[in-house]
Amino acid sequence: MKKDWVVTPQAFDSLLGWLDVDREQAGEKYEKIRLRLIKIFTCRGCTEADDLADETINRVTARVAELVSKYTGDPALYFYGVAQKVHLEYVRNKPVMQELKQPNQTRDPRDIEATDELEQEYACLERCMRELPSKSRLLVLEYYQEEKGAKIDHRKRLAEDLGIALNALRIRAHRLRLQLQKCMEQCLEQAPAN
Amino acid sequence: MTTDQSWQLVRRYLLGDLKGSDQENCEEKFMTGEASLAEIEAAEDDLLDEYLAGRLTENERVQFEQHFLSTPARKQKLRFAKVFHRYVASHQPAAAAAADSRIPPGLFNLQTWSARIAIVVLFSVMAGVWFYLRSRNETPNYAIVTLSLSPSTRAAGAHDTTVTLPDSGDSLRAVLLLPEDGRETNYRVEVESDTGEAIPSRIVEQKPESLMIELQGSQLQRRQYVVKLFEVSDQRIERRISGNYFFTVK
Repeated sequence: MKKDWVVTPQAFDSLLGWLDVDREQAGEKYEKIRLRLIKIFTCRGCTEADDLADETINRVTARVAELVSKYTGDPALYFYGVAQKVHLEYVRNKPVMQELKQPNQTRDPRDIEATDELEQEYACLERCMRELPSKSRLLVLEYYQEEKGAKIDHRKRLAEDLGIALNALRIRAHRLRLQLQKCMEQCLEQAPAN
Repeated sequence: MTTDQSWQLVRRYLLGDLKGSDQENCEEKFMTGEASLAEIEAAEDDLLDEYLAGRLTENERVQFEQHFLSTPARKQKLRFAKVFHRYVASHQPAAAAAADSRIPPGLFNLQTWSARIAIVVLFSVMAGVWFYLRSRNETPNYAIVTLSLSPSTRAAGAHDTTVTLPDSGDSLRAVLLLPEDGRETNYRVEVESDTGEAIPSRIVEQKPESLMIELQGSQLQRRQYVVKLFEVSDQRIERRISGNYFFTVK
């Protein structure tokens, strides 16, 4: 991969200008594109998704002067095209070791090990749940409660009760769950090591 | 494409089951914002949950373990999901109890607006009559004081507020200004005199920005008092709010 090109502040300004004339909007679009590139690389199984997204952005930035005058269409799709090439190179150059799976892996990843670490995680999660506003806490517990086959119906009823679409409820629950995960990770960082 | 079809497609994409142009179409939609990052990540949550619950097919399970779990971030998500589900499973009864204690759904299930309005009017009239009768029989007779949370201690010379009880005053009401929005929080207060004597009190009103407590006039002397505030979680765990409220009765 070409990693010898360094983004200058001027080139970055030009990139933002290409994304949107409004500087604030351009910043938001840039951040969205970066996060989406990271997600795509992650979904393709790349362990260095952040680096690959940055490499993609660097390559686009290197050509931005040309793009401003020649490219028509959604800039996000141009980034995507470059990301495809970056991914191809990544796959080609990926060390063979990374291809190897773990055939002798005997433990089911679903197993919950009863370790102190997990207990600490649980304690942190409990703390994070307590810090949630009670409405959010209740939403999390109701949304994720196990009802086997009736789960979808249960979630539909919950969405109706809240007066929102099922998709909106799903995203709301996801955001709370993400918030809890971040909170738990922060809590673990602050906790004394065993 | 329906929402369900769209979710199925995202799910196949996450399992690495989409190839070639199908994969590109899915990624292009994602890049141009037709599918949001939150939607993709919510689908990831669903997959993690189904995997942990053993609800994936054998083929999906293999794809999940070999493709989906190939990055450290996803493994971290799986680890969190395990702890998270353990928590949710052990807190279901609490959730149900809390749900039961919410506003009864009956009023909101009424089919017509006229029925809803009739009930609201009925409640309003009853409340009006109650307040009228109460005002005829009982004239509130209390002093009221507003207190702010002070970060200092009394010994450190914290500023306190002076209050004079009316001659026939039977109680003192103190409005405690809360340090943060108290809409979702349960509180408990402790009142102590400068001699360390505990004074009984009760919370009579809670607003997002304040809490009103009532103390019996007969319990108060010409002294300094401190009010301590505690946040109480649903599990009855208390956390002391830093700082004190001070007042002096003259």
